Amino acid sequence: MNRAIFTIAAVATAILLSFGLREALQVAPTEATMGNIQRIFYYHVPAYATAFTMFAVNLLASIFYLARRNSESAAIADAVAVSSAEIGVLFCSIGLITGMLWAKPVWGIWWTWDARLTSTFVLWLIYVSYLMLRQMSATDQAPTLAAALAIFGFVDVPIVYMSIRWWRTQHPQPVIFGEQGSGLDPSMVPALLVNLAAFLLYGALIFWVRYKLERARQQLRESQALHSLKLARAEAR
Amino acid sequence: MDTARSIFHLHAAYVLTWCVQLVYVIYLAMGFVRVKRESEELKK
Repeated sequence: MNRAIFTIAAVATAILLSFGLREALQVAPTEATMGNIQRIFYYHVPAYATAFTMFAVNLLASIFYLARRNSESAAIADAVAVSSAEIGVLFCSIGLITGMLWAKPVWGIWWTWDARLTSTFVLWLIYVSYLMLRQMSATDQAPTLAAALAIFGFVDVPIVYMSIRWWRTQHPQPVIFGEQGSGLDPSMVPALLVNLAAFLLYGALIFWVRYKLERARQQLRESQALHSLKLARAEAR
Repeated sequence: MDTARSIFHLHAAYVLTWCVQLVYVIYLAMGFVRVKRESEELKK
């Protein structure tokens, strides 16, 4: 992506986010039961949608890395995997924070260990441990181990999604792709769709920036290894 | 339905979302600065 395309995408994202904010706080109608606090929904759901998209990208990149870990494209797949996991954790954290801020006035509690909340927290822990493994392991095997962890970790994503369908939970039943008559009021749909598009576009942009940083780090590590090798050879002579 | 506390929570959710994003963007910028500095040190 060259600089001009990135700038255009960044401007489009800023416009979309501003429009989304206005739709969510001013245009969308006030929900009858919960009142204005329900407007958190327009950030809560897009945050999780972006997180799940990033975890899916992480899964694909991890599979690709394990399948072709001796090829030149393995480094690219590894950079995609670590970048998407980090952005996924970022958006998952926002989902958890907004969820707790929504829960307190509505349920009277910040947190409850129901199936949806617990499986989401486990998902967050899995990808935080993935990032810690990447950060703290000094061996060359870290990307391979992390890729394996990512594949098993992704199993929790459909569990999180289906949890409110499989079990009775404190968390509300699904309003998107739920049972008949459970859908979102049509007047609320534009605010959700605009914020969904804005979050996904913003997520893609910062993913791209994080990917470029990871590639720069990889090249730096290669240069440092080469430099150390040259020094060791010079000393041996 | 709407209480001062619930409105505070609504605003807190929106503000915190962008605070977290801002902190992350700063973290990314610091990452680029560090890589650039280490590359220059290596060239010396």
